[in-house]
Amino acid sequence: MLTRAIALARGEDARDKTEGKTLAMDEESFRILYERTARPLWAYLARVSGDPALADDLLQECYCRFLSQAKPPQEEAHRKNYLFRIATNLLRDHWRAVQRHGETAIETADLPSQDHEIANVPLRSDLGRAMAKLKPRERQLLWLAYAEGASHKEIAKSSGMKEASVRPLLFRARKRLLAIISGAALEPEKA
Amino acid sequence: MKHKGCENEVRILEALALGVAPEAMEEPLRRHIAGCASCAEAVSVYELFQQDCEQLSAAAPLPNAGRVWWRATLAARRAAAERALRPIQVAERFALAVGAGALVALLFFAAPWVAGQLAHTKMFSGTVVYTVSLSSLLATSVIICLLLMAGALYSVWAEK
Repeated sequence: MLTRAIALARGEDARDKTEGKTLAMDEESFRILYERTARPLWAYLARVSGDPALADDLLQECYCRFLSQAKPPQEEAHRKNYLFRIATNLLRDHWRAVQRHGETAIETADLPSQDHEIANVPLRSDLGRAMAKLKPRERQLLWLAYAEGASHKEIAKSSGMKEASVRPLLFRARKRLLAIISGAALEPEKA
Repeated sequence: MKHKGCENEVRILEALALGVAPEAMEEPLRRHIAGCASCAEAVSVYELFQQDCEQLSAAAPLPNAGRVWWRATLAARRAAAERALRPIQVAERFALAVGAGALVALLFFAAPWVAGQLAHTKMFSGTVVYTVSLSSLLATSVIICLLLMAGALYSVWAEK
């Protein structure tokens, strides 16, 4: 072990062994998984966070964490769910960090400005504007249920809440979203 | 019902997630959607999100898969190196603690002797003259070496 440590410290070529043992799959399998899952995952991160640049960062971090897992799921559907769970955890960590450092309040976090470098991404659609007025958890629930078609059980697993709580929360989130879209709640919420 | 929506929503959403269009659903479900405001609303919201998801996914500025793979490889390698270096770091800290302990013990036990040596100094017309024996010279050298070693170990540890 010490020899290996010294070799690593010197930057010697223990790489092949390291990669083979620490990454969850080979590069080709990863490419296939990435092609199939990256777009919906990015859309989830972008819509729920409201920030395309943050979505870029978190997307890469999602795959890094997935690949560093000792035993990631083998089935493709499970892999996708697992990635969404990682993404949900990363978003939660990000919001907690923002709250700790007293940056922009998340609950009313607005979409990035038009001069953002990824401004071409249609984040400023009606749905996007309405979503930005919802709470992060509501955005997550709605996206997982209606964009990803996730079951209540899958949503509960991803978001760490009880399965029985998903249905009423989802119903309320949907009502709030529709109220915002229809203009009833377009005014900023009073705290 | 009021706060949870319709019981059939789950079935309808499951069918939609499987790619079944509302028009292609079984007759009872179709009739239910037509008569249930909550389920009709769920279908509308589902379609709205699907459309938005499609647009957003199509416009997603994704990084190249190779770049993500490379980053994951680097992260994995760094994590492996950290894991492998941990025993060395522990050994270094242990050595530092032992060195510091030995130094403190030496100073503690050598203090009376040093005081004794200082008492033997003689002063002649403002010039300090030390009467130094070979053994005391050796002991002083050892103490200085230990101090230098402790300093060097600390600087290495602080750098890491």
